[in-house]
Amino acid sequence: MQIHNSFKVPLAPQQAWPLLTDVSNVASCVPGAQVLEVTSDGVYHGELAVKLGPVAMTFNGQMHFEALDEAAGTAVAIASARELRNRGSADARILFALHADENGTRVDVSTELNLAGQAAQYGRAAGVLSKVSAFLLSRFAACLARRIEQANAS
Amino acid sequence: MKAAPFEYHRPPDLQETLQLIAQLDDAKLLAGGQSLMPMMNFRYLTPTHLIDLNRVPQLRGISMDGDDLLIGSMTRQHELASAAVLQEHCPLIAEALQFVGHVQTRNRGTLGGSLCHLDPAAELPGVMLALDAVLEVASVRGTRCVPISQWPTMYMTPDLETDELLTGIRIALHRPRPGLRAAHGFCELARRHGDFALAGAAVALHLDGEQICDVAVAVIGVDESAQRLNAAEEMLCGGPLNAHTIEQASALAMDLPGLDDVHANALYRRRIAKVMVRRALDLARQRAFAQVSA
Repeated sequence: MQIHNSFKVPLAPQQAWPLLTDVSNVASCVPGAQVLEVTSDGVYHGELAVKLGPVAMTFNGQMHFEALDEAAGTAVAIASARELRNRGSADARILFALHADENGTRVDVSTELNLAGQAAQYGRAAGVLSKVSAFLLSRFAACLARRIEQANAS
Repeated sequence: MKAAPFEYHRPPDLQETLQLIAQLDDAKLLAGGQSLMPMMNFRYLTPTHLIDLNRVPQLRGISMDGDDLLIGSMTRQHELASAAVLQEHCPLIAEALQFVGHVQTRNRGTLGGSLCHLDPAAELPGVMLALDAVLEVASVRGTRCVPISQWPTMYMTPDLETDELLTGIRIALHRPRPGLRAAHGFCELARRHGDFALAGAAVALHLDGEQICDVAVAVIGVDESAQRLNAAEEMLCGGPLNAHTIEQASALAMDLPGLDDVHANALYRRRIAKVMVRRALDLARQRAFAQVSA
């Protein structure tokens, strides 16, 4: 399943880049996400709790950057996770592309998501997941913008 | 499959229910159980605690409070369909209930259960949206009211905290001036009778002679929750209700936001919604005319 989203950051791409590639910082801005451990090989271990309507699921897994190209402003992240109560699993390949725009940076996020097990079977999966991901990303972008404002103010 | 183990609670009254909901972590509330129990049996849901609301007397019944109709959240769908006061003042509810599951599920299923489960295609949230219902919510912290338009916060997620309970539904009965005619219509399309609809429409309106003085059009099944077709309402208000205006108004359903799923994509759902809005408006028109000739 393909999901496309974008969000804006009120910083130029050069300044946004280190912020957006700091995974622990990014995770702390995503509702329900936390980084539990970073191993020396650059793999992040963490958890993501999401609600698909009445069904609350917690995914536990890992993520690493397959490619980081600061000059081109693109990053590719690979993530895989299992649901804690064994209700399914998720694999994702996420492509981030930073573009300068008039107020800072627009980040396009393209996600190739594969779900298996109950997580895939439940409900109107495709439409719901795109809504949930858009919701998570909008909350994330708002949180990031707030932090940048606070940093500028202080 | 059967449900994963859970602890069962059956409080005898409202106060004890609210205390339980406030105290227990990871609890689900059992109303009629027509969605919750299958989901637990499939183990989509594995709550630690199940709080059964079926013995709480304060949550049941239909009564009048001034000009408002008050329906307890645990009132069965079957009771709604057969209540004389609803047939007189809100015939739209009874008409939509014919499409809600089957006789057996309506005997158990409740109004509050449907509003809290909040399936995108559920009939009752759509009907309540057309009737501008206000939902009464209680917790140990107090009570509050939520207009139905603000009730869905996300896909199948009502504006309800984990310590809160939907206690009642309030519908302001729009008493028409003498000479005003009320009319309604409900239509939906489902692949099998009793299934959640691919799309549906609920219409409630008042006519002053030939002129529409107010109209509500709610569409179900197209987006993540029921939605009002505001553009059609604005277009119809103040004008006549005839084949031409109905055609124009229903075409506006094509502009609604929509969700894709395995059953149908958003475009197809919009096209069904358009036809359902047209048929529901047409039903209302026929009823309004029948009143004139009667």
